[in-house]
Amino acid sequence: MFRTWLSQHLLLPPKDLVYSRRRLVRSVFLIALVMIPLVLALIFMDGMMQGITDKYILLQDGHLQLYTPEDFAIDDAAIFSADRVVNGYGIIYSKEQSSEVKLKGVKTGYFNPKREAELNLETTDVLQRSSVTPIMVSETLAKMLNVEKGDRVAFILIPEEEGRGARPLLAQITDTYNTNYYELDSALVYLDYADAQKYLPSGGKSYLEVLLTAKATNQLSTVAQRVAQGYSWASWDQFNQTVYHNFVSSRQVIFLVFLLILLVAGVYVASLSNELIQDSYQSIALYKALGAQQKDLSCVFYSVVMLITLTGLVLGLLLGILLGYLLSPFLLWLSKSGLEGLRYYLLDFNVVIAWRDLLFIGASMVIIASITVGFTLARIKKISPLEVLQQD
Amino acid sequence: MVISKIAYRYAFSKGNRHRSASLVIMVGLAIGMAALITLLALMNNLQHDLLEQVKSIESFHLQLSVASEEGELEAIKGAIKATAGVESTFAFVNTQVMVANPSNQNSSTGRLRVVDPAIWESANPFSDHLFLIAGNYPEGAEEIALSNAMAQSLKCRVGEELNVTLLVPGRTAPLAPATLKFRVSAIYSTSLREFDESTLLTSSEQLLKRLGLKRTTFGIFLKEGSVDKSHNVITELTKRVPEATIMSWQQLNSAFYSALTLEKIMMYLFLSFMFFILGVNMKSASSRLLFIKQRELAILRAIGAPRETSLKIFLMQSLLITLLGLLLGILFGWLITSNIGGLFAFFDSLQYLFTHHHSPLLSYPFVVQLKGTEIAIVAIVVLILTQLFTYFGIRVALKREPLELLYHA
Amino acid sequence: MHEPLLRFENVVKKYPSGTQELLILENLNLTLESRRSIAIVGKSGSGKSTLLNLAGGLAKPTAGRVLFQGKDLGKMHDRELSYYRNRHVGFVFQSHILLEDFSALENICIPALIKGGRLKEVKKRALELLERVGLADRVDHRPQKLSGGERQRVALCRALINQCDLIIADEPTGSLDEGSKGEIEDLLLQLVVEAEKSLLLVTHEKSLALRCDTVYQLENRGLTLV
Repeated sequence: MFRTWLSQHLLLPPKDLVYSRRRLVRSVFLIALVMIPLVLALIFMDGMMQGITDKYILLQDGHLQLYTPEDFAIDDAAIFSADRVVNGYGIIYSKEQSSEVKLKGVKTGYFNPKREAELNLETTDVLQRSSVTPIMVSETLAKMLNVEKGDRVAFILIPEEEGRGARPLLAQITDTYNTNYYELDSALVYLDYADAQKYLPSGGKSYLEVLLTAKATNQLSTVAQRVAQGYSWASWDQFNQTVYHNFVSSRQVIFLVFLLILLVAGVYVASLSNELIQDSYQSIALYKALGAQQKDLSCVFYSVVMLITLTGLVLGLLLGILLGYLLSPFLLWLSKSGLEGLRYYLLDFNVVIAWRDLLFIGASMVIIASITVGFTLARIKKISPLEVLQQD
Repeated sequence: MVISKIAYRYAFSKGNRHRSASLVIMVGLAIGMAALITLLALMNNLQHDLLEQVKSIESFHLQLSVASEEGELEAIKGAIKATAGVESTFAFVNTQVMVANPSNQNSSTGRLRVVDPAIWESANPFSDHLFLIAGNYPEGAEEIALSNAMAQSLKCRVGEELNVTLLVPGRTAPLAPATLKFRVSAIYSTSLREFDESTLLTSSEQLLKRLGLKRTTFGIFLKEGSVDKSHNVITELTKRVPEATIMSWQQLNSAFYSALTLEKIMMYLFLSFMFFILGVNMKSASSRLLFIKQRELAILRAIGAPRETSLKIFLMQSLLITLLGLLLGILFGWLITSNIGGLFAFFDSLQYLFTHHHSPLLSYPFVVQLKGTEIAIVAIVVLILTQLFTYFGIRVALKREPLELLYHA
Repeated sequence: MHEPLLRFENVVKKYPSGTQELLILENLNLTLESRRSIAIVGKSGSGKSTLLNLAGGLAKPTAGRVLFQGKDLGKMHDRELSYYRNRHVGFVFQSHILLEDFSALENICIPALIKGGRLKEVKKRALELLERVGLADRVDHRPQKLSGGERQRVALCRALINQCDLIIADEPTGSLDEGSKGEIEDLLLQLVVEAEKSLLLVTHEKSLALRCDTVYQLENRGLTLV
């Protein structure tokens, strides 16, 4: 009863104790303020990483690549789509510029709604036949080559036969796309499957590009072994190991920075506890003089401070998540300001909330605060009931 | 002197119940500063290393591009070399190519850099950062050096032949593909992954002629003191070669450089949060202490201390706490950065107990780079910030004349 | 022309109280010569402390003048008043108000250090004063470790360190027990006479008041000679 009464008194000070009320509100908001950028950084990193991963999977590598014959049929509940594609590369050139590119030959039906959304296509009816080979390039590549939709460009491909010179392949840009991710956009060119087989040396590298359902993505190798039926296969992370490891390392560095910030926030929580005890100095002496136990008092102050910390934590998390939804539009707006460095990042991403990581940050904050507050509680022990007779 | 004494006592006096607030803030400042120093030292080195690779291998310190006849190139080269701050210069050309190994049909796209053969003969940042794994530098007309990454992708060795397809001026079209044979004279490696994955090197003058480029680019390496002050060299070069287009490595790698700068700014913003929290701490601690010491301040006024004494005492107190905190932080930061390898190895072995995997981050052979000016600027900014926070914490209370406490006695 | 040390000329003092003004002193006149002592007695709330605050330059009169050696305190700006309080006045308050973080010796030194004195000399003078008041063995003790009487003795020494012209004492024995009261009263008067200072004293203690050269009763906002 005493504990509850005292905690209530500390958490809900009377209206005339303006300073105490303000202190409570200030502390909650300060802790929330610390949490907000941590949450935003996490959302940015995870959102960007997920977004980039999704783009590579959807547009370049698929979840799985099965190296099966042309007539190989596939039917499994874990599979969202399976499209036969052919890969190769070449050099694309216009009158003014040239660039090395990845060529991807696809069939009708490859551009399902998911891909369509990623590529920002106006229509899936792309690569319509023209007098020359139709291709689809990114707006980024078109700008680099100084060409537009409808213009003609040329390719050099590896000569089919030894000793035979390379011949330029004329093509027309019938469509353009934009994934908002420079790294992907700058090098990927789509053409018709039949054209790719015709022009790429040895018909290019043909395989089945498989997209899995959301549930099956965590069982990549299990599904692969099941559906490949003995044929060789590869998964998306094997093609993008460097990108993946870079992100993992960046994440680890960010977490290190988080911990340091939380450490300093823990110092603030210790100050708060110190302040509360200081302000209650005479009262604590009086409680002790009236018979209150040390452990009761320590428990009360610990609970009050941790409750304030938790409130700030939760508020910060919620506000951070809320602001996270505004992050991508803001970054996109910022990129239009001309900050070149932003092109290395994917700015158009969905909000991904890594609850496990948020829990980890929250738990770290609670642990650090517990430790720092614990140190200040030792002061309560030192307050003698005799202090009630002295004035500050 | 009285003010300093009072300020010190208010901050650190043993009998002072409010000493713990000062100590907590000081510890917080020390942690914040140590963290900032460590992270910046790591970041500086990583970025410095990366930029060093880029400048040495990819873009040179400056690039001077000029449309000229062959006969004028030597004169231009001489003019560049004669410019103060220039260490060396080498003409080069980049062109997109497709490479195929006829023995196994493996192929790849890439970039062929045709570079002045003198680059292999002298010590310069390019040759210093490029390591020959096998063979000799390409000197002949049909010799090419391949990166280790490309050699693995094409599955070829030193001595083997490759077909290289590239664009040259056509007879009827502006550009037409041409396939040439080259012998692999060397396999090399650099620390720049993007360079290695796509670049072949040659010094073939015949190829240069075949490419028929209207513009020649000179890659320029600057002397040590001039690399980050290249604007002076650029100004001088512009006078000597007025028709040339000159770009610095920052301009040539503008997007990349901008991304690195952004990352550093983000790091600063994050870490500045720590000092913001501490500043708020200091504000509330100062205002509390002022409230408690009002009577003492009244007596100081009564015995003749001028009006601004209170303000000075509190600002001095905050200054003392901040200075000590910063000094401690700088000391800790320096200690940590000096022993970063050992520390990370320790943490790696600790996490290994749980994960049974070595962390690539903790196993990385970090080298640190402490920039004194950066630390000094941060320290000054923190100092000003804490003083401002202290002032905002006490200014309302200071408006009330403490003498009033004695008026109505 | 001879100027008294301190002179009140038709002094009026009002304090704001909500929307009204409270009249504390009205046309008050007082003259204090050098090396003389004046005691002011009166009921609680009669304005005795206000009179002392005006004398010490802690407050300014609403009307009239307070002159110290012919100079109008009301016309002095803050710096001049600070100078006046540091060099010419020594305060002894009812609640002594010592700096808690400083020892007895250091508390005494502070006014002299504000004046700009050299630490060595100041300390020497402070030690002499402490010895004079019988606290030579409490030099390094902080106020928390001193009794009420001992703290008041330290306050006395602090008032005398700068060899000021005027000691202003506001109920110097008001918060002390009977035993200490007599001690402090004797000490105060002895020190004032020894140092040849003037004393302006407010007290409830008749015995102390009668030991001064002149006693005034503050009533009805003015002074009456007792």
